[in-house]
Amino acid sequence: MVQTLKFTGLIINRQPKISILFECKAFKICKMVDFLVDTGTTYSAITQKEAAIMAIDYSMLPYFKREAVGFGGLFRNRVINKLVTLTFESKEGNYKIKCGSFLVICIPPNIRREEREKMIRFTPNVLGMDILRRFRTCVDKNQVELILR
Amino acid sequence: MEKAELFKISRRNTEWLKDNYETLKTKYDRCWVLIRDRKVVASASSFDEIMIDVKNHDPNEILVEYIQSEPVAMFF
Repeated sequence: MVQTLKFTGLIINRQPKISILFECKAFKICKMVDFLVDTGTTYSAITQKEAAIMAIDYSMLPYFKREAVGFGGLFRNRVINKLVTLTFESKEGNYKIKCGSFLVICIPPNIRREEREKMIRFTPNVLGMDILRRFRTCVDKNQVELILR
Repeated sequence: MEKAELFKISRRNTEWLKDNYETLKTKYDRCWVLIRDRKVVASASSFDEIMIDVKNHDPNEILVEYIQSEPVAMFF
């Protein structure tokens, strides 16, 4: 019988969130990160807020080569151009995904202080289709499940 | 810290946040909160302010969230 791995997250404030271990040995980072499960996002990314908590100086990171488009407008994101490992935990066992690089969503410079604060408040870390394509994703009222295909 | 312990701490904080979100909306409306060991240990009105407290804690033992009772329409 083929064993399936099922990773479960919670719906918090009407958002499907899953906790994943985010590791980047080059930056000596090993931290749990809550991601919004977002099938509408192309590339997974952590936010400027999360980078600040991890003590990453995102201003030193190179820009991501592609322009990012969202309802908030156009952004120039940065990229952690080092190996990042994401570890998903389940009762049946853990599952690791190695990423050659990882995006950091950056708030545009030269915006008003109040706008910057609002953007930090409401921009989530996102788990996009680059990662989600490996799973069957099920969202219901109380939880989100990622089932390994 | 062992990875299993990191998952355990994160799960505890996240479940506590989910279970107490409605209470937090009343008590900490429009505030950033720093959650550690299933309780709010600091709050602030701006991200820069809460980051002062964040620096005094192990990032793996905390959860930093912005709480707002008024619903916000989000489109990503």
